[in-house]
Amino acid sequence: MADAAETRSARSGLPALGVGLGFREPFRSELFMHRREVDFLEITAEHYLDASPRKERELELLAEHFRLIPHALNLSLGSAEGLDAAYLKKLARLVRRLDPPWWSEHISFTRAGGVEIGHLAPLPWTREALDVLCRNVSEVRRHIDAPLILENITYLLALPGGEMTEADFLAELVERTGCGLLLDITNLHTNALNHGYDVEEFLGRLPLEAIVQLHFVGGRWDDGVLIDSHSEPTPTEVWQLMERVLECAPVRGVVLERDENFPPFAEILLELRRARDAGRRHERWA
Amino acid sequence: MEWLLHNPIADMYGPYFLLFYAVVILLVVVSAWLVLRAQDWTARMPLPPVPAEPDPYEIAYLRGGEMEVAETAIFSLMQRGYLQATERPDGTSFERTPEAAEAGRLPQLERRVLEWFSTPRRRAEIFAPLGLRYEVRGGCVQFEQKLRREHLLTPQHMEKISRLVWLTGALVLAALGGYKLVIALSRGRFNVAFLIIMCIVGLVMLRAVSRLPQSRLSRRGRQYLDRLQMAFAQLKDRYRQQPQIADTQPARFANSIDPTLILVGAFGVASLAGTPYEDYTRKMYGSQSSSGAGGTWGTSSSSADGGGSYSSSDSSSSDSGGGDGGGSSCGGGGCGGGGCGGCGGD
Repeated sequence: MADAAETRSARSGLPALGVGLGFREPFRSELFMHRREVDFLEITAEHYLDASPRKERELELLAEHFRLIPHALNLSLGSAEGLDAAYLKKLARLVRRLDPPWWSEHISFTRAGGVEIGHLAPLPWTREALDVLCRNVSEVRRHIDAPLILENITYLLALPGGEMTEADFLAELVERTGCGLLLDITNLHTNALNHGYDVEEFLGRLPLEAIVQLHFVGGRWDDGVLIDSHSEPTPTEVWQLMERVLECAPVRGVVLERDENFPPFAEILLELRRARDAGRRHERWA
Repeated sequence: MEWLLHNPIADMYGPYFLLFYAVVILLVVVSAWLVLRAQDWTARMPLPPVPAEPDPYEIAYLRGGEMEVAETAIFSLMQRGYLQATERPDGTSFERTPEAAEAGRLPQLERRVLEWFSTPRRRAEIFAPLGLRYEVRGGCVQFEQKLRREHLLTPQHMEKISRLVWLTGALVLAALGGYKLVIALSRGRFNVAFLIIMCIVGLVMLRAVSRLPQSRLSRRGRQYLDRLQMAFAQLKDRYRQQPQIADTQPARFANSIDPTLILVGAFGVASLAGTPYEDYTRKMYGSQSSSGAGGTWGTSSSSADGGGSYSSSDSSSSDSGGGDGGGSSCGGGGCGGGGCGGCGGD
């Protein structure tokens, strides 16, 4: 509990980074040609854990020109069997090297019974899952000093046996660990549409003061289901959601996460400018 | 005198001397390399950042000097339709287009190049020592000064040092080899071919090592060029894999830097091979005849209009390594809720 209180206190002192971009190699050149328009980059931690010399050089290049926020995928914080010590050690080394104001991971599991699933799998909204998550977060803290923020994921199936709502689960997670939230507003929008819940009610149950960073992008529709494909321009509903969250939460940074169907970089810049303007309107950054 | 004719080296058995001589050659060459390397202290300096607004001409000058600047300018002028290359029976002729008269707002360097083409020029004239390279020299002074200030060019004192190192090392190798040669001949032994060959090889190796610091760029300069090329490497793949996006960006976003110019500045006209601008390379170097022989060429070769998208397969570029996924399909490759087989998405 003392740990959680310390983390909460550290959270309030986090710097406002502004508008960031999830780094993807195909637009590295254009990123450098327009680097004044990108305040920081979010890098996929796994790409640099066992990096080739070329990726090492890339990381060095990026780190010397941008503030980098590591975004991990495979820590599997929801695994009941605990964390992969070797993976955690490598991740800790990367985070120490980059010295970011915070880093992030997902509220999910990617490993079960020693088997890598290869995907982010949702947790059941139960006390037991919460206990596992809190225990693993506590273990992570012993190795990594930089503040950890946790991201909500999308899911097609809500696991049965839930004892609370996802929003309550997140609220209690924040309360017990003191971690900040990386609220993926596209995921929130996607889940709300696919599972028919009310975004406003969801936000009303969240500890908004814990939201540190946002993710946004657009997904595609497939047979009546909205897929979080990271492949489309950010839709109007997500922009509205961003405004809503920026209005009431002390967001330090927003990150556009485009992974597929890359448009001309100018279109990415337009989205970044729009996000920057939204943050400025709500005085989240200069 | 007696000592000169009889000492451990003079009396050394031939094959043993060759071994000894090989060691001396190695020591001299390695020492020369270390001395010269230590003299170029620029490698210990932190590298300058990639400019927020990169100047393709400055990058071209860093990469190869005045001729590279000239070639970049020719590409720029052709791309904008101010210059054209015309196939004639007696070879390719480069000349201004009627639109060149309206090119008042060009940067000074491009204006100078355009003026040089006020009379049609042949390819050989462009590349002649007193050709375009001479014409753009004045416009490159600022680049030269900046690169010198930033210690990106080989320090001028390095030439003297490398000459001194070469002379000293060559003297040692030649004196030792020559001395043994004279002794051998004076004793009536003429099987000295290996000795002579080793001496020549040693001198060639020393020459190669001592010439390294005379390259235009300092170690810092070479590292910086590597950094710039890494930063802009994706442009090559971008135009090769998605030719339809050629020219759309500068046209649609007039205030942004033209990526094709950065590409040419950082990698040269040859890097256009395989892109919609490939004809520029052909015309410039005349390596292959273009399919439209006899026609006129020079305006943008872009074929498509709309801003096409480039796919994630870009990441399989020559500059990108596979297997970055870290065991997950998420992140770099994208992971959607539904796309992940009914589990979660980030």
